[in-house]
Amino acid sequence: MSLVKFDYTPEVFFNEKTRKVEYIYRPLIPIRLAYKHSLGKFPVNCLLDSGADKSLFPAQWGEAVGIKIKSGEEIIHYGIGNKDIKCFRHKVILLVGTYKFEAEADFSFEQSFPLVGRDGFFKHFKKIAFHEKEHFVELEY
Amino acid sequence: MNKAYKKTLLSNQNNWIAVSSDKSKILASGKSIQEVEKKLGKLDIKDAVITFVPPANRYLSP
Repeated sequence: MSLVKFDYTPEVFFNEKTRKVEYIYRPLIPIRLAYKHSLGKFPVNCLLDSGADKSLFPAQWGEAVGIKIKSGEEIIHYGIGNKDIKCFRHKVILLVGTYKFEAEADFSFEQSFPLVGRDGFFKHFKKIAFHEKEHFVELEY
Repeated sequence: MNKAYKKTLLSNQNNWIAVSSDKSKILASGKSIQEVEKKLGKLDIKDAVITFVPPANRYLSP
């Protein structure tokens, strides 16, 4: 059994009511993306989204490792605000620390924030535990 | 997170930034992942994490 732990990432949030800048802690984990023989130069923070069926990445991240985004199978994602997002599916390699696995990921020109979902990410782990009060997440594989 | 870090985050909403692996410093920023990678390359930085900065006045509900 291997276990990796990531602290939540503090990000800024402007509270309109109090007019103050606060911190909001988000479960972001650094993931390196690889495609065929091309490995991303740096890890990119992805939101662990247990409510997402699939992983959804910005198209530009795929392009950075040489993926011809529009050559993938066209898929529609349905999200918050009842909006459809057009995506293109590709098989990629994801690296979380030293753990490496092949997964499907959907890339969209309409998505800015990379997020990893249950099928394509969570299913590659034995357990993913969110520690909300302590602001960290543990991934067991 | 110190004041300068917070200020840099606020000024980079909807941009991509590179953060040191200990999350203490913002090393580069840009409109795209590729732009940030290029800047890191010029600075000869090999250890960083790239992250998108969402708008600070919105909750994130993907």
